[in-house]
Amino acid sequence: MEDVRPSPETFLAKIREEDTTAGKLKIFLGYAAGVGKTYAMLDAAHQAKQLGKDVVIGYVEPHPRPETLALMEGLEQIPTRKINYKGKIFQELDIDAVLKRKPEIILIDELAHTNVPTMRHLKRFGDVEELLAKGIHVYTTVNIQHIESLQDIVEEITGVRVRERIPDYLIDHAALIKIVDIEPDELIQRLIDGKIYHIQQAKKAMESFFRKENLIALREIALRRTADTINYKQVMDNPSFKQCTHIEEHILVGISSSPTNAKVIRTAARLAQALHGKFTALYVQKGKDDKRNEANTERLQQHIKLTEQLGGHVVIVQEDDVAVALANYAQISGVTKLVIGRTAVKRKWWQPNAKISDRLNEYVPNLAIHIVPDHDNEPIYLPEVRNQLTFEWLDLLKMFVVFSLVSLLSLYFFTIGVSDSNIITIYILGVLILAIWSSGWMISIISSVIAVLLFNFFFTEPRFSFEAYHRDYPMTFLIMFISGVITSSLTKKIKKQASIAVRKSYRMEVLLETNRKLQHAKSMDDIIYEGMSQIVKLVEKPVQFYEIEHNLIVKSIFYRTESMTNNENNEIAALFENTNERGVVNWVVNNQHVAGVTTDIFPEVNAYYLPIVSSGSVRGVVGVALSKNSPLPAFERNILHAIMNDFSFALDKWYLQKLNAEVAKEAELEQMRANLLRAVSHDLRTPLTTISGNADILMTNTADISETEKLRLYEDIYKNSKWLVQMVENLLAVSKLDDGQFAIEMQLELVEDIIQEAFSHVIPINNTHKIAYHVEPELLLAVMDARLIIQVIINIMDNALTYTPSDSHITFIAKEVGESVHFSIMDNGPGIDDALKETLFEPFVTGKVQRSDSRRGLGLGLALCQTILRLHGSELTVSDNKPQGTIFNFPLKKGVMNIHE
Amino acid sequence: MNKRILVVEDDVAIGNLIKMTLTTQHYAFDIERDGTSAVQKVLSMKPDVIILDLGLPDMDGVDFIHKVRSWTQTPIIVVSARSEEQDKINALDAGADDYVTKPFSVEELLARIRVALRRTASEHHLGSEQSVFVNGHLKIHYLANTVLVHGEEVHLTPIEYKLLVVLSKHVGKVLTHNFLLKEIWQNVLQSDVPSLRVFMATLRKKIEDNPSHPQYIQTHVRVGYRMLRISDDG
Repeated sequence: MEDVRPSPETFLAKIREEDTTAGKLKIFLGYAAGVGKTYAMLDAAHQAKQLGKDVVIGYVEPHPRPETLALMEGLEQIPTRKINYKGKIFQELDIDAVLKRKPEIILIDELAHTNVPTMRHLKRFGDVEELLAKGIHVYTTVNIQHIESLQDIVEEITGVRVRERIPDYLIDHAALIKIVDIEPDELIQRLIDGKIYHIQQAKKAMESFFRKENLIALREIALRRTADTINYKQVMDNPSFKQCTHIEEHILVGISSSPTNAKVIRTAARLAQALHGKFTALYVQKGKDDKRNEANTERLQQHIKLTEQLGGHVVIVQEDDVAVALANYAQISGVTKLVIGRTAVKRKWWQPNAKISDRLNEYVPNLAIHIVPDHDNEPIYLPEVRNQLTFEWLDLLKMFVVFSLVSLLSLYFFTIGVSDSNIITIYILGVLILAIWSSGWMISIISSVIAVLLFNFFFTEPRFSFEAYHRDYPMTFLIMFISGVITSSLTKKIKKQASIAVRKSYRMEVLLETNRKLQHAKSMDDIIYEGMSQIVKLVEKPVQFYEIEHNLIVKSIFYRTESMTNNENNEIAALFENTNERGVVNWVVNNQHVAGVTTDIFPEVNAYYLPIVSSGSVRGVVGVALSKNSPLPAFERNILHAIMNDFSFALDKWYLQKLNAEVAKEAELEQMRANLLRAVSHDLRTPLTTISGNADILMTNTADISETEKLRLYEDIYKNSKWLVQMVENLLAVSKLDDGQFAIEMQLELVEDIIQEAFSHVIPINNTHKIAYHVEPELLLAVMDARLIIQVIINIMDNALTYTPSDSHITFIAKEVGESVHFSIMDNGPGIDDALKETLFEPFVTGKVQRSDSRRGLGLGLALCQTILRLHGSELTVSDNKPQGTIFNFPLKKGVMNIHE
Repeated sequence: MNKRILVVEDDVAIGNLIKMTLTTQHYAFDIERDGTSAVQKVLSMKPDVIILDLGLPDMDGVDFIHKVRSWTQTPIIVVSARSEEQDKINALDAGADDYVTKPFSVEELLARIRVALRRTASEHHLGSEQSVFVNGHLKIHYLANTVLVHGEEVHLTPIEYKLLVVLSKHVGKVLTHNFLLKEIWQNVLQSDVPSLRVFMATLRKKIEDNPSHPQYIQTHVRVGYRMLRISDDG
């Protein structure tokens, strides 16, 4: 325990850290309407303004309270947004205007308000959270009864069910909670004076909500809750404080789809808050009835969401017996308290202690168990049964076919003397086959009955009538019927489970396949294509991918699904083009948060949008076309998120590789540059010596030199400076290469133009060589960077001119060969030594500067040519000309062009 | 025939070089070291040709061209130290007639000046709007849409004819790819540049005596094309 007292520096650092990150939330908490929250908030705003802060009103409830209205004066107001929804005009906070205005502090009344459905966030606290995330401080007001975990208590006290609720974490994480408190008597007086509502309304309110007992209770709750928060913050913010608490309380609660489970969860959450403990919710997924029905699944999702909102951690386990699962988890995870509802578990005859609480007690006797009273807990299975009892005509036909065959077979066996009991087995076999083949449950029951009837009709005395003489037969029929029903229902169940298993394993397969495919994807486009295709496969809905660069949509690609018709696909593709949808995409990019259908943000659009975040910035957004009526099942959603994870990993990896490659290339270029500099400084020195030396002689000794001598000196200066010019051109080309691939401008060029241009630069006026060029066919086009290729031709031609005696022939040939253009420059000079050929293109990269001065111009020039051609995906080669001389060859890609008339 | 030439160049050494060159050819000339005084000089001196260095100390060369072009069509030859084509192209698009790239040879510069002077001369004694264009052995009847080489009619495709007309109307001036594309196709798509090259090559084959040593149409790789005014004796 050394570090009990943090140093002032750590405090300062902490304050600074808090300052720089997100905005702070200040909540004015009251226990009822009319306590003066809005007034207090406005008052605080004025104080902040006097301190020089930029305070702006975003939204204040338009109460006709004169004091409040008076305080609103002198504060800037952002005009509210008027929204027309179902014929009514609603005034709402204009969040975009606030973000644009970007004040230091924004005032937003009534945190628990539910937004008009067309707005971005379902609830106002969504707006507030977004503003906080953008670094804007928010002042807001809320009444105690709106806090999620207190809902049941408030309902018990006041009898009013509060619909607009805010999650507890908002209160717990608020930077500051200011409780606005007045005596209940005073509040009632205010109400009587008509300061809160109109007199009429006030009377009504006093009869229901504003009773003194209610107010006192609410006040107590508010004060208590605030005290808890203070305590909570102390514990959370101060690690040393945390160490003092010896045992951390761990509260476990069972989640189910039961309608009253929410109450249990809230109770557990309150307990956890009060004890500053951890809070875990366990969902026990039963192997057999995975999804009972839509309503239940929906409710389960709500409960999971509720738990998360209340700060709990959700764990899902697979286990048939809830009690065993809870007990096991409690033991393993060091749970200190267990909260369960008094759930009516179906009593099973082999379990004497049907109540979960009793059995838990038996398994983990030293665990404190809180049982939440829970009256109306009815597990309803009816809707499911009704669903399954649907009946199809096709099944009837199948039944007819099966029973005809079975009866024929039985009749045949009967004639050859097979006994009754065997014939019964054949009929049960028929029922079994039908159970596998048909789809409804109804048919199983009907088939069992018909099997009995048919057996009765054909095989019992008297035959071919529905009567039976023998007194054993009723028993036989009954057993036959029961065994028929049991076999067929078992078969049905197996069949259903098999199909669920297949579906599940298909999803898992998709996930694994995604992983593998993404691993193999080579390029960014590959990754996107594979990822999206897998998502389409998984959700069986069309998907749109938006590529994002610097927070802007660069392009979007639509991926259609096979499971829909072309028309449906096209309709959905059109939906994605809607500006509304684009707006949502932009929001997702800016907030790095999922949005769209089935979320609380922009729930009215046509798709579910997920951002792909890679190293801190959004690289893309995936839009899955969904409608409100067919949301993604939880399992699919989890897999989708897993795929998205894989996807962003793959992107991360790709970006990293790209970065590495760039770094490596940079290093190589750096090396090249250093070597080049060495080579160049060597190559420059010789001609510069000649130029400056000759000029020096001419300046100092003009009189002593003969005119012919002078002429020779002038000529030397001119030649060497010409050489320098050529050198500079090459250096310019190198500097262009230094910028990497991007600086190169590939274009379709007319080969003849290029040759003529190069020749005009390289052939001296007093040329003594015999130079010719030939292009075949005449209008030959090639893909190249004209400047660089001209430089290549100049360098090669220059070599040829320098190293062959005058009157030599130099022939330039450009020929179309398949998909490329072959260039050859041949001379009939002395040729190049074989030993030299090998090092001819050896670039300055070798770093060896051992060339003799007379060979200058060769090293840099040809090496540069090679580099340029490599960048064109080509290579310069040298071969011998017959009978003597040298040929330089290089190919370029042929250009194909559609002439625009 | 003392032609007046205005040289706008801030570098002393290059200024000296140009001065020597012009003196040997007996041109009357003046040198200005910055853009502002050069603009004044254009007004007072009324030069026949302006030689302009693009890198001026006080203003952008392209701005200078815009200014001068607002009242006079005096040929402007741009001297550019930057070897990037884009600067040249911008200058040409702004209204410059021709360019030389440093380092340039003395002959090169003189040749450009002669071309520019010939252009003004021909424009002086033939009004700007005429129905027949004659250049060496090339003759264009604008009204009849016919082209004659050595007195024989040559058949051109509509685009080749349009190209030839545009070039002839701006004879002596370097026309950029963008300018030509706009004139011929009305819109500028970089992807059409190769088409332009091919049309130019076929046109050349039809009007030049020796296409590998073109006389009438000069190619400026990566920049554009120019029709040269051939002296009457040639």
